[in-house]
Amino acid sequence: MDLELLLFASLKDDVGSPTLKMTLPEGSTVSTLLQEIGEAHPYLQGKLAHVRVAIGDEFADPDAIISEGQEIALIPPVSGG
Amino acid sequence: MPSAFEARLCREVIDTEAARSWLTDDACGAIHLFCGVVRDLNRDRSVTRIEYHAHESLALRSLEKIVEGLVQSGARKAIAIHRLGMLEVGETSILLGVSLPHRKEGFALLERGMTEIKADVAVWKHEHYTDGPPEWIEGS
Repeated sequence: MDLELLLFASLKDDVGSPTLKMTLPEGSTVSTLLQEIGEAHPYLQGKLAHVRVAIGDEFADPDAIISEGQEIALIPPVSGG
Repeated sequence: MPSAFEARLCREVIDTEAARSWLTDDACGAIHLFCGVVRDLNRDRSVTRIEYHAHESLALRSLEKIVEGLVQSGARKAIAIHRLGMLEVGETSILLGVSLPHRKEGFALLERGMTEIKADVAVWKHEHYTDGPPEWIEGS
């Protein structure tokens, strides 16, 4: 399945784009997604350990299954307030 | 019956007095308001302004859950407003408020709410300095 991930803050600058395209097998989980991103983009690996994944308007557990068409975002440690 | 909690993201100046009015309740003797404000120094660097970015739908959902949790824990009403966009030093970036019959529990609820906001609301500071290019702040 083809995914277009939303990027924020320094991840957006690191990639040089607000989105990142990834292709994963059907039934992949959130943790698989992060692992695959790290392998495809080794320069992001250090940050991925601290990144949470959101599916739609909710944070997703590492074992959550991803489906094509969902809005998936990589969320670096937040700094609001 | 009006909603007991409200969460909002905004790009205009946060109206503190309007929030206070929203929190007013005849059964409440205490209205607590916390305002987080842009300051001119962070990590020993001189800050000129901060641009706040967000994953807006995720941030709003998290804010809603936080204020709903404050109501479930004893606040009669709870409101959170996070401002986005470019803010100058001295401007309010976040307002959190609760009202309840007595003051004591309100202080703890405000502290809890701000801790949750700092941990879970998908907003990031892009900090601007007098002595170099802006930088993302991640985790605080």
